[in-house]
Amino acid sequence: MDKKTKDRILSLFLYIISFGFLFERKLKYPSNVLPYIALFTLIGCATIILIRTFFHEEEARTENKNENVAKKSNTNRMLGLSIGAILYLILMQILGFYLSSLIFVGLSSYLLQKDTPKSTNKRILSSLIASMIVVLIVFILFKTILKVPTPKGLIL
Amino acid sequence: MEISVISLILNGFKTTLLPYNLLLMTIGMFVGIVVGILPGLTATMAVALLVPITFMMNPSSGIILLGAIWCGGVYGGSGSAVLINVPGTPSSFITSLDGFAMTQKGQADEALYASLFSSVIGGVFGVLVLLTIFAPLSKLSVKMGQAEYFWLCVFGLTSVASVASGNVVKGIAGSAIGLLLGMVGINPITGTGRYTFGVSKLIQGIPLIPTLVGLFAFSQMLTLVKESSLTIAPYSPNKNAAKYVLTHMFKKCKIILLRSSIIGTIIGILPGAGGDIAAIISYNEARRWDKNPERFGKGAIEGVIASETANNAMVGGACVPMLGLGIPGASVAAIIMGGLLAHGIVPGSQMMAKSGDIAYSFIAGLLIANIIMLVVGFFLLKITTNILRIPTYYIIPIILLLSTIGSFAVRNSMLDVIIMLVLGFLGYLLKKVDVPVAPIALGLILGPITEQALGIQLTIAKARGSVLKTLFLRPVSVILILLSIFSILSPILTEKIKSLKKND
Repeated sequence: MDKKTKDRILSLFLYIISFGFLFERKLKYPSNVLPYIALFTLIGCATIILIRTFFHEEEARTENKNENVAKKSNTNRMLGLSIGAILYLILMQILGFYLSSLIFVGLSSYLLQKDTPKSTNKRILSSLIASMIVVLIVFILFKTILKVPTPKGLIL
Repeated sequence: MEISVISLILNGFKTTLLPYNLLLMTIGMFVGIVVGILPGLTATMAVALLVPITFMMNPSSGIILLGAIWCGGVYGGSGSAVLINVPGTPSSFITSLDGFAMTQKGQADEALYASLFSSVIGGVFGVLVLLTIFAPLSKLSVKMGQAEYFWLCVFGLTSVASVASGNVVKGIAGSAIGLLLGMVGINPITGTGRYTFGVSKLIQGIPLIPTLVGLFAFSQMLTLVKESSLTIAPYSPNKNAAKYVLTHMFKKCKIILLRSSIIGTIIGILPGAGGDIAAIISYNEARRWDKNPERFGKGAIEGVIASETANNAMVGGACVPMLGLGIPGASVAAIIMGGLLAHGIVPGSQMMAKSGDIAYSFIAGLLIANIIMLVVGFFLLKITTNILRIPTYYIIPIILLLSTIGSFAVRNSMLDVIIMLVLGFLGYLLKKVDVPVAPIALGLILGPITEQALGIQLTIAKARGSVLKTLFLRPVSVILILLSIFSILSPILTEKIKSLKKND
């Protein structure tokens, strides 16, 4: 996606946020002053960004070249982690924090090692050991020493 | 200085230097740094968790321990900010701008040493101010009215122009998003709910810690996955890093150190303004007065020095109104004040007369704690850099796990974990379209203070019949307005001048 398209999507996103907040609730003076300042600033910024996409062609091309030099993308891995994080959250409400963390850390470290030259057995073993060590340390540090509360699930 | 005050100071040092108290401070410093490093766990939380332990000690030892945890917590946040772009505490998020950029350039050691040394210098400066002039300064702080607070916040918000160098419009958009996020929940003026979009739980507002964790930690993990690099950043130990940093600091950064220490102490003195605001303003000033301001945000050591000096100098400053007036200048100061009250010591005008020995033991303790920080921090620095040797396929899930605890622990709420994830995705996407996330955090931090100050001042103006006189035409307000205008215009003008020079 080129910079122009990205900026147009950004300005659309900023308009949606602005109008969403603008029509969510009507406020009375003086409590409406700062919200209106922020909202109209955002609308102004969105408009400037949008107008720029029609006039600043040269700048857009330069940035495109820079983007091409950027590191190799790996969208699938990123999407995988995003879905994994959402599933982790859902699992946490069923299995509780520690058990779901054990599964999440183990599975995600196994999947993230996919591109490494390690054999499948080694990957499984290292992920399993890593997840157990991490969860044990977290349990001792947060539960036993610091007594920090963690999310509880239906089972644990 | 009166003889009685001098003898109180000497007695304070005598108490602090007892082996038992030195041991307590070392333990407190260690705990503070470790808690500070962990994302989501702040110095405030560490001090709050350990206040009950001090009830078993005598008041001086207890309060000395709390002071050491506070100093350690404020410094500790910079470790994770530098190494993994995860600000351990809200006040260290500015440090991550240049600190992490330095790590990515293979200069992690330099960034960590700069952070340690400037934290110690800033911390010692703040405590020295506290030690010498805390009584007269505390009287000055109450002269800051709501109008001045409002303009101080506006000045902080306009500093996005420097944070978002080269893209002022997107920086301003980021701070406006942050301001709007800060407005979700209870309206501080009317006390009614707003901008909850039908989610009743949002009435409590968007919490700061999960937002910071999401914007900086989770979004960074998504970036790391997408980049598919083996480690967070290349790392090779630099044996001469400490020497290089010290030489650089004392040869080229004397002004930055002094200016940031003064800014940090003054901001700390103002009740309600914490280390985050001190770091923002100090960073902005360091950038403004630099010959090559475009270096900032791309790995300038001066950025780390300015931010860390100021947020540690804030500690001493925040104690000025707490001890002198009984008004805590920061959230940790409020908890320490609670600890003092639990011990039967009432901070404020009577403290010097009734418990001067404890007040000066605490101040001396803060000074010694900053020196202990140098030793403990030096030792921990060697251990923490090993994070950069751990492969990302372990680091990413671990950070996500820690982010979950950090977000949940603030209010025991799953909604905060969801907020962390949502804002993490948002932060990642915004970074993809060149919108910096730091101004969003800035807007969220300053939003509630700005709104409250503006609301109060506008209500007063309505009664007096003149907004101009009440809000604008006050001496300090005028200075802050001019500084804000200068802050927003200077990067635009600098860019224009540069492009004109290029065309020539």
